[in-house]
Amino acid sequence: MSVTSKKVKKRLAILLLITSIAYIALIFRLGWLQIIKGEELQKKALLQWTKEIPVEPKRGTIFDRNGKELAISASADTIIAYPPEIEDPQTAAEALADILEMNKDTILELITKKKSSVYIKRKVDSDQSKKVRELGLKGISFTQESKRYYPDRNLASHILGFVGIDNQGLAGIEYYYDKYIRGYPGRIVSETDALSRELPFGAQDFIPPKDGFNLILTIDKVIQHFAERELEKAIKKHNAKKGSVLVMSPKTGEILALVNKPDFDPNEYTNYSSETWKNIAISDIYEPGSTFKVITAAAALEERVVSPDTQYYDSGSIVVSGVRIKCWRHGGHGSQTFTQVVQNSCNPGFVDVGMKLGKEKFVKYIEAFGFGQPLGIDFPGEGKGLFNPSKIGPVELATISFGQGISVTPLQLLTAICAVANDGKLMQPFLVKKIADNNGDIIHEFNPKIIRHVISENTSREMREILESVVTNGTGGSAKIDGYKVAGKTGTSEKYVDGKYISSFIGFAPADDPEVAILVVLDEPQGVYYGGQTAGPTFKQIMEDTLKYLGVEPEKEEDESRNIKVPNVTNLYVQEACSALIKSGLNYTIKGSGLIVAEQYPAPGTLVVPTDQIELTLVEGKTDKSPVQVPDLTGKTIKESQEILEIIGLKTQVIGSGFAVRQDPEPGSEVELNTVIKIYFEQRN
Amino acid sequence: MIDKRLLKRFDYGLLILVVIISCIGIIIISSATNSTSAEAKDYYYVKMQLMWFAVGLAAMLVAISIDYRVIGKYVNIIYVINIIFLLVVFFAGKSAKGATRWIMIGPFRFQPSEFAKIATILTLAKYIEKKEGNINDIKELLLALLYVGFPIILIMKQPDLGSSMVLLAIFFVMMFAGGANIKLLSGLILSGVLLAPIAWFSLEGFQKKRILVFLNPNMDPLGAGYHVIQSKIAVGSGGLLGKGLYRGTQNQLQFLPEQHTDFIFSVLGEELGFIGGILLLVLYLFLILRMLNIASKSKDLYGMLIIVGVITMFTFHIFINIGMTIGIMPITGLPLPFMSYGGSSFITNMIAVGLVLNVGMRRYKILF
Repeated sequence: MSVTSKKVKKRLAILLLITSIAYIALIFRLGWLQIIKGEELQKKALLQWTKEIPVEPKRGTIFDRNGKELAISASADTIIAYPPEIEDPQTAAEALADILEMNKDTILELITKKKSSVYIKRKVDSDQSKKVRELGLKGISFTQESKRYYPDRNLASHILGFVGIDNQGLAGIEYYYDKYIRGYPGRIVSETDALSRELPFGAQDFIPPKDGFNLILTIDKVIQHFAERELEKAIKKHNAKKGSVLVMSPKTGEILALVNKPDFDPNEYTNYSSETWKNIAISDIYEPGSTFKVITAAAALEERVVSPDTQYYDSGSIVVSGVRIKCWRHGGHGSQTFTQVVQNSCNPGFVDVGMKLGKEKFVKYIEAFGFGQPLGIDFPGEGKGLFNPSKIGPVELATISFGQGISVTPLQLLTAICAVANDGKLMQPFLVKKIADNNGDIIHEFNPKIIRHVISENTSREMREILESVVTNGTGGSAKIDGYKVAGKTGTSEKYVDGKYISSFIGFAPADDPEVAILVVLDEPQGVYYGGQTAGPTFKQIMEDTLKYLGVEPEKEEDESRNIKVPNVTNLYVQEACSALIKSGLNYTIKGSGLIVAEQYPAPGTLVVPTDQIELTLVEGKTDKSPVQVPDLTGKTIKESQEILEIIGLKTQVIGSGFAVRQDPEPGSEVELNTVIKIYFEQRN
Repeated sequence: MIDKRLLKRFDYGLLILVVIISCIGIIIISSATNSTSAEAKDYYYVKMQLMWFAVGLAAMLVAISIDYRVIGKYVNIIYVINIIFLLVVFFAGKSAKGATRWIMIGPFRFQPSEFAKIATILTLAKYIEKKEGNINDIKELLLALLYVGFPIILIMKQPDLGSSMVLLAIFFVMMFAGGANIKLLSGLILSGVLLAPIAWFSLEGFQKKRILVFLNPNMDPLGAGYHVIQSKIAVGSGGLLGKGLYRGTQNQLQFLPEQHTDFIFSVLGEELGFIGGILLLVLYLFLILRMLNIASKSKDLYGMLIIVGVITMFTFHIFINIGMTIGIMPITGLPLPFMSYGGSSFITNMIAVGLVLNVGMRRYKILF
């Protein structure tokens, strides 16, 4: 210690202190990182070395109210390429382009990418995937993905909507109820290193996906079919630009059918313009014209400013604030009761009624009936109509009373008319009845909901009678149905373009106890454009079919001639089905092409009049419906039986030879696809 | 040769500490290189590090056997050799990762900047001793700075910012311990700080980036910030007890960069946890305290200053390296003494400890 002075010793002590502080700082920082932040950083580490592969859930099925499938999910092959394994990309691309109807260069680019795997085409149909399999190309592989199918193609397309390539709901019910029907994806968790290579002995964990719930709609596939068929006919007949039909149950607010034409096939929605995807019956507005007079009349009766027997005189026009409003009938209707004013759809009469009501009360009723606001139906993009009370002067009040100067959605109008029919109770319209899981257990049930009481039961009864008289004695004559009391109102509104009209008919039946309400709207019919002559017959046909289908008892004597029971011809060869129908004294029309009858309308067992037409829908080949009905093969040869069963997706077990005499299971029983049907054949002498 | 009486004052504790830390280092290297490459499969890195350990012991023995005062007579030659080595690097060095730091001697890469640390300690200690602690005016101080400044600038040019900072630290601490005027020293440091903005512009692009990323690692999480973020995740996820040797996911799955060299502490932190980290830090602290103890008992100013230089070198390396792995220091590429894989630094450290033992052994006049 001779040399080191006191000063130097002191300085060494300072160095000791500084060094110690540095170490303590390191220890504190280490503790902070490892003890305090440890858990958080552990999670970060875990995220880094695990990789998750999602496993798609099965999308729930959409059924109609009777459990018939409208949208189903089935597995479809997706074609994947592993570029490094492909030996001759040129020829491979050529062969694939051929089968998959794709551009050769697109495929070539895909399969020469510097990636370990690429999608070539997702969710191809079984035919294409089979052909690709047959090629046996090295480096081409398949994986199963779930694909959405709409077996009835265009039927109810606007209600159902459609899904995207990843099974995400994009429109309609598919979109609105997406979170229920989509399900939860499962996942495969596997350990990977920094280059995201899977570890050979790394842990793998499979968390199974949770399948989506099924939906049961308020839609009835049969009524939907009636509506589609009739609307299509009417559009063709009147050369209309488009049209809509809404069928509703007035007592519950359930939508039984909803059609817009032109429509689209949700299986291949991209082939249609996005304009056709729109559900105009719910989202678009139009001027209701005379059909709106029902609302004016109901409000006036409820407020007692008129009674059904109040006398009116129509000189042919009325002047409001200096504006002359004419009646559609030249010279006017002369002296008439209020009931007759409605029957004749007399504009000056309604202007008078509107003025008697006054703006305040009229607005109150229009709003109470649900106009000017969305009704809150369980469907995306509902329109709210065009109704602004602050802009209503005397002239507007006058025109609105006969349905001009206000715009409504078809849904709003029908819902309001249902309230008129249904003792004044405005029901919440809805499309989904139940949400159920795969075991059929109900997860949620949507019950009918009264939005509010708009008019009294008494007014409702008066209105039903008046509207029935419109059909029996007035402008709605084209909607008359034998045996049923029908209430209705025609409507014709001029568009703001010259010579373009919207014709409509709205009504319900039976008039004294309404079960069904229907609105038919035809946009720009050519030639005859009065609602009574265009939309009226369509309304009548749908209403008649629907009432019969629903088993609503006719009030008057049933036509004695209605005594033929429609035979069951589904799953038969066309020729045989036709001859069976002719044998029963019936006619038939054929829809589609193919060998086998897939569906028939009316259903087997329905009572019809002789020479009535039975509509048969044919299928080309195999159907994938399950369960299927076993056809009657009696009298068929072995070859014929095998062909028929093959087409409908059943297997044959041949016992004996000659002609079929017996089969197990019995004809008409419902079996799963691919069930083996034992057929006993015997030689015929 | 070593006199037997000298062995009486040999600090076995210090040697044992070094051996323990080196063994821990080799174990961690075996884990860090477990999956690195094909070479690792037959314990290439472990074998190499064992070899460096043996060579290091031999070098240490040499450093112990020659009396440090004898070495002190040749400081000028050491200084010149040091400069020559650095110039060789400057003109004919081997590059890797954007820096030229190595020269090849046979099959081995030799890193002169490591040797420069020892050389600077030895030469500066003699320089200060000659002034007998009387560095009290600005001229003396600047002359001393010039003396070490030459090698520092050569190293900075390689570029090896870390090592040049070590040399600067050694300079200041040795001046301080050697009794230099405290006001002058502070003034020099202060003017250095004031000149820092100028220094900033003379930095290489990647050096600037490292400092910027140190200030905010998330600025470039997959690029320059990757090292820091991954290291913090690895250390932090180790928790109190660690994931177990050979079980560190971040290490074994290659998320950690440079895990057997600069980021060896991250592996230790991940696999042995807070407990393992503290153990290593305590071992280092003992090492430093023992050396300080020897320094305070040394016979002359020269010996004491050598030890202070070695202590500064170790402390600076330890603090910067561990600080970097836990995100409180910028990334500089300074190895962790006795832990990081690599021959030059291991042998340099062994020689440094050898010099300390040398001074400690010869603290009394030997009486025949």
